[in-house]
Amino acid sequence: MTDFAARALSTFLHELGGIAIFNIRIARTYFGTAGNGPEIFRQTAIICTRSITTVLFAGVFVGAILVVQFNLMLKQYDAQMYLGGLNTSALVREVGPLIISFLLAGKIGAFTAAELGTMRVTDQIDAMECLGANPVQRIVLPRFIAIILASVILLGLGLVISIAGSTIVATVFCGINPLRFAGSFPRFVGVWTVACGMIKALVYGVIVAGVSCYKGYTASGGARGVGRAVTLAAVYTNLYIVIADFITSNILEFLTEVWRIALAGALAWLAAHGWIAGGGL
Amino acid sequence: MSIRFENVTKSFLDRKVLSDLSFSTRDGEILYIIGKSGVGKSVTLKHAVGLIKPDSGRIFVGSHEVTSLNREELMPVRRLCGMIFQQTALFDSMNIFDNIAYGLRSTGLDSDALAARVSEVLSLVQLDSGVLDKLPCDLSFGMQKRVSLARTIAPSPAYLLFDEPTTGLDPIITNAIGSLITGLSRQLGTTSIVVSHDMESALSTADRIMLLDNGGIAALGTPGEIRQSTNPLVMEFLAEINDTPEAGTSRTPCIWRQDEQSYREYRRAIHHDDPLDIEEVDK
Ligand SMILES: Nc1ncnc2c1ncn2[C@@H]1O[C@H](COP(=O)(O)OP(=O)(O)OP(=O)(O)O)[C@@H](O)[C@H]1O
Ligand SMILES: [Mg+2]
Repeated sequence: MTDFAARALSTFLHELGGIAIFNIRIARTYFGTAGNGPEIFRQTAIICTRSITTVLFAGVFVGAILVVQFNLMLKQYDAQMYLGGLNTSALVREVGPLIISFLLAGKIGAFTAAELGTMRVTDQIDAMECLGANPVQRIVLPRFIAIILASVILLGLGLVISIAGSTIVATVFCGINPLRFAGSFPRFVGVWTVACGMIKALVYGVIVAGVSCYKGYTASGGARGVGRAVTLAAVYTNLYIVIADFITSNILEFLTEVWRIALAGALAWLAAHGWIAGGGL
Repeated sequence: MSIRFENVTKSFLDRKVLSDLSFSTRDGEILYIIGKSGVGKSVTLKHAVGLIKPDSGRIFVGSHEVTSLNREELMPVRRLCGMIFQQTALFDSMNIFDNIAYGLRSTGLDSDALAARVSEVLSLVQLDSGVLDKLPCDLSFGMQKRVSLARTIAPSPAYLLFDEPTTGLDPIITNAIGSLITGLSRQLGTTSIVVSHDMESALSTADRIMLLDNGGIAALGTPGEIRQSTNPLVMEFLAEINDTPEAGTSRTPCIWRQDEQSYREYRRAIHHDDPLDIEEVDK
């Protein structure tokens, strides 16, 4: 049993180390070579168009599910006026980034791992090196950056559609006035909330991109090897995302707190020195 | 300007593929590496361009010591070498034109010169320009092989490393590719290493032939010397040519006849028959 745990831990750390080293290589390539702008743009467009329908559908339904659930609870406490804000806050902060990144992991992560893995096992990557090109720069980097960009773009689109969907569901199924529903947004959702959601999407995007590129790029052993790379990429991505969610949530919570205290402190200092009228806090 | 292996040893897990392998090409020569499937021919070629690092030993391409270079330093050396992979390794998301032009893009040719060079190498491998906008998956395996040949020779590398360039091609194209390899070496002074199981084209094309066995060199010499060799493995390969039904009737004069004595001994030792019977059949 301990043997098993030790092996599992060692595999986990080994993978993590491999991914970290590979990502450092990608970063060094990024800063060391001329940008590959058109290719990055092309890949981002491909990913967005490939995933947009899935994201929009998932967005609407996730929003709808949350509204129905929150409504059930809030009704008991006669607090339905908070439904819109609570629902949107949950979507922006947590559910949106998580769902989008799971979808991207399943769709684009798997696709990238399979594509790079096939290029590896059919010697295309070796051939590229032999023709004097750097495969990390030519094929990995554009995909890597495109996945990160796409996850933020898709999060934005997904959130808009899912908030719209929630409003409709709240109006039609829960009998709430749409203006009242939207009216509670500002109380729960501010610029910082949206920034937190975007930061999370960025982090998960890095995870999806880093893990799938790494697993694909290092695949070996023919079609079976590619299959294994794809499966492992999906498993590791989802695992790392939930772990990262816990960590980033806590860090962002902490930063929010720091931000509040700093703001309050600054205002108090300004008031004490007579720069602004005090007592407003 | 040669490719030189010094005491190269390589194992995968517990399987020793190359043990203490040393050889060196001569300027502008065509060296064939022949050996049974799985002896490490492809592994040897990949060592030369630094795609595989040896466990010990050193490899030189010209004056560059490949084994001591890192990834960035290897790039200019790789541009000197053209490698043709056993499984074509064409970029399957690019069309044939982009595949062939890939190695030319970094040379700073303008687009007209690029297109001209692409159609030039395309005709060298006897393909017509109709294939240029197709994807690799739309071509037959033999055509893909020729495209990969074209892609590799397009930047005119100083060294060419062929991994089974003619496997899966018909005899006419095989001959054409044989003369292409010879032509490149004679006209441009390209040094070529050709990996193959095909002893027949080796005998007709090579300047020297090297037989790999058990991770080392079983025989190395000019086609003439190889024909005379009494090494059992060499004889086995030579016999393969002559055992095929059409041998002796249509192809080059029977090789074993030139070395009849040793071939007889070999047949008696291995197959327990009398080669004279076979000579009868041939007539
Ligand atoms: N990347 C690798 N990892 C593990 N083993 C390998 C690897 N590459 C090659 N081998 C092993 O090395 C040995 C030699 O392989 P190689 O591909 O050089 O054979 P070959 O002589 O080219 O054979 P063939 O004529 O069939 O192409 C084989 O036993 C193979 O299993
Ligand atoms: Mg091989």
